[in-house]
Amino acid sequence: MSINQYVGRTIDILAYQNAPGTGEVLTVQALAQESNDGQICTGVQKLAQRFLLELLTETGSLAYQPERGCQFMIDARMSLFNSQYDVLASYSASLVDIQKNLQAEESLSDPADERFRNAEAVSVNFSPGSASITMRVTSMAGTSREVIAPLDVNL
Amino acid sequence: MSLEISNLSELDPAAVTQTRETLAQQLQETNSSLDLKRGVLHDLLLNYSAILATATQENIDRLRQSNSLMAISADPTLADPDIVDGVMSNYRVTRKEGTKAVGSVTIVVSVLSTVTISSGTVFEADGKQFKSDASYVARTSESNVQSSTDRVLTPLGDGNYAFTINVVAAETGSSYLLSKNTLFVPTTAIVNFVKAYATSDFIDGTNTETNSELMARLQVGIACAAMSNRVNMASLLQEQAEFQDVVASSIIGYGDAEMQRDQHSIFQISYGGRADWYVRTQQLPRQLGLVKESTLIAKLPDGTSTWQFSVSRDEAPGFYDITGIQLTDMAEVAGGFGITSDIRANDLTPIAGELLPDIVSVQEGAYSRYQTTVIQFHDTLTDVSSLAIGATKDYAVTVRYMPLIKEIQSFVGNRDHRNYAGDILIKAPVPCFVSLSFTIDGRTGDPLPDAYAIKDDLIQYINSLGFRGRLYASDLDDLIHNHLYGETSVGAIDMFGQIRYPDGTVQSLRSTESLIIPSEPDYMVTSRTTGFIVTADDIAISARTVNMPESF
Repeated sequence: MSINQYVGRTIDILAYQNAPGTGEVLTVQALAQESNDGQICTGVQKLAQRFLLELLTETGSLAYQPERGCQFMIDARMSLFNSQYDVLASYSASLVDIQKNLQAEESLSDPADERFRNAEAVSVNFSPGSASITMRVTSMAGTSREVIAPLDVNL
Repeated sequence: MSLEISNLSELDPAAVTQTRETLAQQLQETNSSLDLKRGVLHDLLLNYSAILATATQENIDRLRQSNSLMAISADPTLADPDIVDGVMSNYRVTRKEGTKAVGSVTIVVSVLSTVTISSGTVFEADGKQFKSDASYVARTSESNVQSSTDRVLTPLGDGNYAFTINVVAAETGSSYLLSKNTLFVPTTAIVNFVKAYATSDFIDGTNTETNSELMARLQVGIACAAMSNRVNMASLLQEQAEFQDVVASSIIGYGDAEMQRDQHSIFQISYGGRADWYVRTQQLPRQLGLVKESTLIAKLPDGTSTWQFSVSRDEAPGFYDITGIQLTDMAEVAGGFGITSDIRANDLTPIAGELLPDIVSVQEGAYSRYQTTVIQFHDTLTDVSSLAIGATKDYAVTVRYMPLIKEIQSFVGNRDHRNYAGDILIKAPVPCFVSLSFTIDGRTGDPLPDAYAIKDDLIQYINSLGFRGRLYASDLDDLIHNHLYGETSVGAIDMFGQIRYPDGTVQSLRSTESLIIPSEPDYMVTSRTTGFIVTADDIAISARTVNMPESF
């Protein structure tokens, strides 16, 4: 994105640094790094960040917003992931809440590429002790962004 | 409740949501490029700002609530006590601090041998702790006494010996006001110990006044302290340091159906100028121990006898009844001889410096400081075969009375304070002695509630009702439920009340729903003259294990 693309858009602070435009790279959860003073995001990248935050929030853990978040990280913490199918099942169930929460705060006046349509699980890699899931977040504009969320799994 | 929010989790969720929405609106009006949907700005800036702003607003609200008479009145429990104290001081109302109950304990030992009770020795009674206020030594004879805290062992009729010490409650509160003869247990061994019991009713134990109680007194504090209308008169009474702990009062005057003293003319109509002031000076009547010289008046065919003594107007002013008559050397603290006759009268001998109220009947003077009685009782133990009619003997008599009736009568009858247009007669409330009985059901293993704590709450509530005239089981249920955990429940509460009418008759009330004082103004019994009285001994709590199906 260029600076011009930010004109007329709303922004958020980027929580996951090193997020690539495409492809796989290890992101860092940080508001700023030594190499930069922090970044802002908009468009589909902001949508992807909203999605990821919702996915990684345990239901009831966000102060005074008990409806936010989903079951996914609760299942992970409770060692319910014993195979890739468990991860997929939990993800699918969580997607219902995520979609409901994200769409509830959106309005029709928001840019289409910032409005959530769906998030497809592209692949799940599972090995004892860790799992990673690749998801494709699609906006109402049809643009999508792959989000890779590595997880430590308690077995 | 502390004034300041100490935990951010105790905020009202609706208030936080509203603040968050307001802040989001304001932030976007200031900077329209901020996206405040779920994200970093939302999670770290907006949400926490909303929480902190709500906490600050709550603190402000509480402070305002504590400073506002209107807000304190609306919900006194929410106001900060220190700030309420400050507000109340503007109206000359000061919070009554709680005091510790004090009393004396009679200790019975089996051997005539020196006994030492260390200072701070702990005694337990009714689940509460009391400590000896000094180091006491019980000596075997008067000649061995060396200090003011030395006691002489007094022989009892059963071969044991007794001495008395003073104790003070471990905590403040009226729940420590134990009745005469309540049994104590020392927590450390006392040599040759047999038993210990309260020599007389404990006194002085009061609770620290709550905001609600303080607010109730506010009107009295603001009012002019004078013998004028009811509020003014209550204010005058509570202005006096010795009467400031009065629990409730009710004034019957001109136009009231209960007023009979203003109809003492041949026309039998009210002329006014009279007031009957029913004053509950403390939550519970006090039991006073007297040694009364009694006269043998009849020898009965079965070898027993009837004796008689009188109680003068100054011995237990405003007394309710005689609760016990025993031989002075009787070892047992409970039980006693049955009363066969209780003839009340009034002693209207003028008292210097006091206006004598206009009293013409026993009923009018009942429970006032002018009341007297002649008691006859049936002694089943004393061998009277060698005694002649008219012989005398001392008996230990326990009288139940409301303290300070005489003192308040003297105060209102004094020329400086009394209303120049009439007289005021001070009376103890007509008593409705209440007893309660209920069962707590629970599954095996459920935690049993603290029966003493339940009793304390019930006693505090019932004895603080004032002149309401109605006692509802649902209110008692509410109090009891505060102590129940798990799947325990309370059954129906059997409420039994006995009203001792001013004319001496007794009427019983019984219900599992409500006790309602009858409206019988001709007998001076209405909700405006009668108060409920209950003691710990009058509350029976039983527990029962019940079978319940498992939840799963």
